[in-house]
Amino acid sequence: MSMANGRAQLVGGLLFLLAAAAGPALPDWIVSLATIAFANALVVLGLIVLWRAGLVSFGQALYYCIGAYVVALTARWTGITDAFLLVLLAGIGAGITAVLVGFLLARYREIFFAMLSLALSMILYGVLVKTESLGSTDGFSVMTPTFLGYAPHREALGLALYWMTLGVGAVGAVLVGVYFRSVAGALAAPIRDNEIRVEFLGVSVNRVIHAKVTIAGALGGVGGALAAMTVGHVDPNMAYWTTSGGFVFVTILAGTASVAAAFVGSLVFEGVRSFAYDVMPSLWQMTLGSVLLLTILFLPDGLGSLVVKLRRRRETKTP
Amino acid sequence: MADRQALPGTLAMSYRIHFNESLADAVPRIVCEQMERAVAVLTVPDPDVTQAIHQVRKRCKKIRGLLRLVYGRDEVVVVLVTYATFLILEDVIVLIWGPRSYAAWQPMVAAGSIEVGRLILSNYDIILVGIAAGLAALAYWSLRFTRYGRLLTAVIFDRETAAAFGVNVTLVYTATFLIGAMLGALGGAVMAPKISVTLGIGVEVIVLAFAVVAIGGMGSIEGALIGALIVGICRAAAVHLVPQIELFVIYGVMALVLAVRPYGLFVRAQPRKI
Repeated sequence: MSMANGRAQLVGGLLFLLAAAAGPALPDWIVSLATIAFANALVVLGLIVLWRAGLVSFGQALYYCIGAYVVALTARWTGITDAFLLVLLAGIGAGITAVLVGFLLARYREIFFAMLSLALSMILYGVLVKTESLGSTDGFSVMTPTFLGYAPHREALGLALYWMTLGVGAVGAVLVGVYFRSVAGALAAPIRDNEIRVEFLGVSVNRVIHAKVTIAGALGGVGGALAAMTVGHVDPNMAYWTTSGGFVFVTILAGTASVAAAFVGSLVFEGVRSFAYDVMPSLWQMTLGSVLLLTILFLPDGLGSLVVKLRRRRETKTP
Repeated sequence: MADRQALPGTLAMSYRIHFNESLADAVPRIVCEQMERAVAVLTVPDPDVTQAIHQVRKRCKKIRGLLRLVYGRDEVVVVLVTYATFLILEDVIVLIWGPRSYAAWQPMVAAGSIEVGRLILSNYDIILVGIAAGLAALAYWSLRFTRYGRLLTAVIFDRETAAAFGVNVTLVYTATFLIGAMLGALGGAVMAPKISVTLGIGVEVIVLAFAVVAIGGMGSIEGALIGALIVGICRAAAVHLVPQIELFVIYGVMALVLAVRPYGLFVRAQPRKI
């Protein structure tokens, strides 16, 4: 187990370095697609944290949107453009929101949890649409970020954001990995199986779930912040339910077996979406829906389960 | 680890799935073993009845444990499948009827209006209220007093026990889903003359319907009625008095109700299964 774990970490690290090194050689559109994909992967990491405890949030766009608006508004009102500071603020802002929302959400499970989180994100969407000063449905643009005094433009900016997103993503992945190996993280499966037994062991399930909601919220905020800087624009659609649906989609596609799967799954999703949007613009929702149905039917544990299956097959062949 | 030997009276509690065995082989094998053991306890000449029942019960529990291991995907999968279907159907709607919105005001105008005192009421609205009340009564009656309603209640209460008593759970689920879908379609049909029929009205209704159900309590018809009244009146009052807060009123009321009654006004206490 520990050896396989060590090897997985080694492979992950190598892939990370490879992705970082390949940046300058890749065309612009791939770099920006990958940046968005990896930013979204952070939100998906949060969903995986919840999913392992049997919870699906259909409103993760709430935190995504809050993260994005924190970046846009901080830059607009205070003139702060440092990307690292902005991402940190976005994470804190979304995290605090998640703590507050968690007092309500942590009491609910299953469909109640899913729909209540959806309702909350739709409230934010409604507020933003009604707020004329923030551009209503059009949103507004985000100031160009700087990196500890370094102020790149055009291609250099895209590359800098790509590397930053990769870095933040790697930190997030490592931290979530550490959390999964902690007691609170390991409690997810027992909570999913039978909450009352966990309670009888002397653990407050609500408190554990509250922590999970907070972690997922903070990750969502960071993802939203990175996406906002990459796109250079924020609008209320970031809180709309289709955005949340997209994250849930990636979570199913990736599966919850491993942290790395979130990044691969997110990349595949963005690829499929751009492809479907390009080739058949009027049918891209249908394409997504079909891929989703097929994944649920034939690959219920996601892309990550393929790796596990391959490994098992190899082990049985060479005993 | 060796299998514990079965001593008379103290049957071994553990079963195992062997490393080289596929799950498809292991599950039936274990179930058969457990059943054979249960039968063996019962066919002993002159058995101690209480002991025998206890042993058989243990076997049954172990089979249930095994089945729980392999079957039963999460209930959230249902939500996800619904979402996938929703995505597909949204595009199907565009394919068939195009992205533009439609108006279907004719029935509303044709129905005319009446004056009650100083109020002008649309006849169509009154018919709508009548239809809603009639459907509520019908749902209440069929759930309480028909065979199907009783079966459905049994399945909702405990699926496994209902199945053990010979209820075709899958059939009941399918029929219920069909009825639910038909009621949803009927709701859309009668509302169409009052709204602009366009893409995306589905989601608004989902969120609204959830608010109603959350306030009333899941699985309660009285709850759905009261919840719908609360949501409808609050929304209408907000539109009339402070139009900016229309959306929040619904969620505000919902949050208020849920803070006091976490699972809605009319929900019955659920037994906690360990």
